[in-house]
Amino acid sequence: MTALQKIASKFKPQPTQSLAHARQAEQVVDLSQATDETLVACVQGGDMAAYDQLVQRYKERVYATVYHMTGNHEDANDLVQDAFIKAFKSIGGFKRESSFYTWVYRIAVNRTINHLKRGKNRHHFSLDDIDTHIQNDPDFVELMSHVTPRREVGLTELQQKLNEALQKLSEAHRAVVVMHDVQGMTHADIAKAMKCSEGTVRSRLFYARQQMQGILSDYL
Amino acid sequence: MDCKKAQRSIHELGNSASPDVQRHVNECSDCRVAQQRSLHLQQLLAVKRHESPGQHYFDSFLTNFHHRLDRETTLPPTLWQRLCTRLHIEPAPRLRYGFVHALGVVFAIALMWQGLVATDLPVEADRAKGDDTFNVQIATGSLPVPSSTPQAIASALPAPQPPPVHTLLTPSVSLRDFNSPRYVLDRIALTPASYEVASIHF
Ligand SMILES: [Zn+2]
Repeated sequence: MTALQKIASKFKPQPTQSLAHARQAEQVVDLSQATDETLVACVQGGDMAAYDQLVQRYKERVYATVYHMTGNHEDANDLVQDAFIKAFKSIGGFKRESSFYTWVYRIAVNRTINHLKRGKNRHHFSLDDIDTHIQNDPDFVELMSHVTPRREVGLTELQQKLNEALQKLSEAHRAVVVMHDVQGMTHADIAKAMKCSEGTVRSRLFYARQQMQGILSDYL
Repeated sequence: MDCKKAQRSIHELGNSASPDVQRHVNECSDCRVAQQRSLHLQQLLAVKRHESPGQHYFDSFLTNFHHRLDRETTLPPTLWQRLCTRLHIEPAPRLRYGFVHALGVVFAIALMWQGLVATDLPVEADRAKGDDTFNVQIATGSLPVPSSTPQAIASALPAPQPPPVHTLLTPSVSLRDFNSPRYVLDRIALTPASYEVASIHF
């Protein structure tokens, strides 16, 4: 029995649902074109390939957040895999009140926060290469024109300082900063992902930025 | 509007802060500096968007995911399944119930057996164990001592533990300081007739 069959047998869908699943599965030939809702329905009907498609679709976006929160790839990789496994095991009970992405993203963020709270994070930072597109980013161009005249500073140094400053924030504050300032998510989306009010998001963002400004005062 | 309120609003809402806030920022140099710093911090954080772990980093993600999923959903074989494999028999449920019942019977017999053994514990062994902490004097001298005599009584006293003695008693009080129990003998039969615990002085 495959892993999917084991999980699917736990959450036997209603007969009408399974019929709908089967029909949808028949109709959808190209999974890469299917919507998330269709893919989730297929997974609930026992289609592992549909889940693979969901993993492929969102792994990098979920990974980016977890990576910026942990600061290293080993932890990020473990946590994202965990999140997708947990989502897969619980997909039978997924009520589709939110999108699959929001749901799995929330699982990943919660697991990451718990992991960081338990102090299990590896205490080294991975230092990624910056892709070449950065040269065309107006934010980056303006930042460098402002920082470089004041002191000779390389991009690597900036990255290092930034990582260190992020790690000094509490887990919840770091999550908000990563989601808002790094990933560009709205307050409303962050509130959904963290299951808190938008006011809480704004407040966390304010305190986190205050703290970071203090740490990074030489670069601002 | 005070500066604290204005700066909080700048942080929280950025460019979409209210016209009141914008007006205050235009007039207040402190808040203008705060706004600039907030903007630079956001630009700095935005640099992280361009960090990537490498082109082929995610190539093996799905494969690893499946390996992990298989590992987590494959439960280790139960004791019954392992036994059946060892004995080359089909792990039929009826056999399993029989096996569980048989195990229960064996367990019950073992318990009963242990109970029987426990009531027949050698008194000598107990006394020997307690020799370091108890010094029971027996007035009968060389008389043969039945099992319901001082040794048995000594073993019924608070359970003696292996040395050191001070784990049992406070250093100032040792069982050796107690007046030894006195044994009263029947003068005619020269067999123990009663047992009195001597008074204990601390
Ligand atoms: Zn002001």
